[in-house]
Amino acid sequence: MSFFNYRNNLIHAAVAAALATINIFIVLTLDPPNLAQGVFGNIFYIHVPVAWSAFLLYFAVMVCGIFFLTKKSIEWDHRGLACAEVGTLFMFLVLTTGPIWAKPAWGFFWPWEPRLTTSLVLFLIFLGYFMLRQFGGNPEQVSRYAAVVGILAFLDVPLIFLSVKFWLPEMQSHPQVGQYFDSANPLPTYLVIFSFISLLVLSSLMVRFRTNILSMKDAS
Amino acid sequence: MEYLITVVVLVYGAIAGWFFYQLQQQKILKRS
Repeated sequence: MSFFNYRNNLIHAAVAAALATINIFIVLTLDPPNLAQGVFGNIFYIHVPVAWSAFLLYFAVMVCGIFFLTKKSIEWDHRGLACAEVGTLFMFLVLTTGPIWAKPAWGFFWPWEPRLTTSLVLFLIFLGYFMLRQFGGNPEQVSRYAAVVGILAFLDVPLIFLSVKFWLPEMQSHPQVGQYFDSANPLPTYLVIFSFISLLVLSSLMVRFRTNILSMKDAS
Repeated sequence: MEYLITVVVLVYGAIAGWFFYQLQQQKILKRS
């Protein structure tokens, strides 16, 4: 039976589509959070929540890896792989939307500064994860190794968050954590949170759909 | 504005493309 034949999944998809439509409308029509930047400043409402979603999905890869190693259930392996795939798609989007924003804001697409570099490293680690999945040999062994790589790869996420503090200020292009959120005008904060929630609903649907397909593949 | 539209099309286009690809996969698996 098709994934979208189930009522719950269809409701989940309808809610995700509605939230995504509202989010696109907000991003395209609202005044930018930083008026000095002009309309392209609204990229902030997509770029930041996509990054948060990617990090959360990679956190889920780590949790699934731990459950797989302790419970030895193939379902956790499927969930972990689905989270890794969706997380890497989101990470790719972070790494492409960032430079599109950076060009008009900073004047160049890609400065080799700490947060960008550590984000690229995380993306490359997960490319290695998929190569391991594809070419690792024995499926049971590959699942175990992939779970370990997924757990270790998550160590890069706190490094990305804290990279703006770890390295010298002269090396930074990104703002400090929380610098964009102004308590006098909380609207941008609410909108980023709304965008994040809409992407969470969408990404959870993607993970569930992909897990379902991986289980179908395994059964066939 | 063109930067913003590029980002919106890129993000939601990639997600829509992903769903399209998975639906194709599901169709192939159901057939086999």
